[in-house]
Amino acid sequence: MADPRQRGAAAARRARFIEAAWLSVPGMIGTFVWGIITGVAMIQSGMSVAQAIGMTLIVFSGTAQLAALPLMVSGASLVLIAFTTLLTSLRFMVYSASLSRDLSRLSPGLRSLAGYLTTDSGLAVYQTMSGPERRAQRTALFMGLNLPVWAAWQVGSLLGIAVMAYVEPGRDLAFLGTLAVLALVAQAMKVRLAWPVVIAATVVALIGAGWPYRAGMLLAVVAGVVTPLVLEARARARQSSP
Amino acid sequence: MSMESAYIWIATLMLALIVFALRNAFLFVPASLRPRGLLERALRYAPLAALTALVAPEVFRSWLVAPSFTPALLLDPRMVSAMVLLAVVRLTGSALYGLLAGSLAFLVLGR
Repeated sequence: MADPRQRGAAAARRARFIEAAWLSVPGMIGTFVWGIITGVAMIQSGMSVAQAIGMTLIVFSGTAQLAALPLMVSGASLVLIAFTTLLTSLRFMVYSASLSRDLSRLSPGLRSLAGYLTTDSGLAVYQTMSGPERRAQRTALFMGLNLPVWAAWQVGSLLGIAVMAYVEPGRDLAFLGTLAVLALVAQAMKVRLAWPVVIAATVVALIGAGWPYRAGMLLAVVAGVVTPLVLEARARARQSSP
Repeated sequence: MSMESAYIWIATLMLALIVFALRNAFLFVPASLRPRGLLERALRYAPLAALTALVAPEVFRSWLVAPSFTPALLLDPRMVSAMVLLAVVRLTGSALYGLLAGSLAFLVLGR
């Protein structure tokens, strides 16, 4: 028979997982909707059903997928697609830094599974729930917050892929994918100095829309990053001068 | 629209590797090595800049190809649904409501 203390710990982990799964419901709803639109956008971009399912399973990131699709349709170079993916997914690197203490004791396999499962909505809830508890319970909490979001994403994507079989051909729904990215932009605009980023990037992207090698897009990213940095530097200079 | 199958699979694998590596970065590399200073601040703005740079030409697509400005451009389904989305996010503070409203507008107006 198992040690009653061990059984108690397992029950506590299970309870924590179930509690977390309930807390993940709002995130699941949003992720489900983004999944549907990403599924639609993938098929609309010319991917086969197998390719779309493969992408959604192994990439598991709406932002990365939606950002890459228009580039893939226009036959952009793999280097440009990689660069865009890197930039749009940087937040995951920040997330991993915030999780490194809690998850560092897991075996490499479990740790990378936890990494793969990291979601925006799951992490947002996770970070509000700090408390003195065992690492194992922390892991159960993390999994409970992210695993249901993963499932919601997969089901949503599959639904979006399936729906496309019934959409009249000739109807261009790829713009729904653009709207899903625009919603992420609108959400991200709550941070400081977001307006200068968006205005600078938009102006340069529109001016350079027809330039070869997507140079307009690359310069727009540079403009969007440099503008707030210059503003920050000027604000600091003003503060330090009497 | 048709894309080369090998190109799609290679791009997909590349996406998966990059996203997986970023999600796992500091679960395997000591967090003390994370970027700091100017690089850290630049990286903070990069995602928003990249997403905006991707979206802007798509939203303004009919404006970019129009020979001259006409009032009809203001009623372009892409532009209208984007504005509906932004207005709803602004009013409700919810990206999900904004996306639902913008998508509905596009499905009703678009062809």
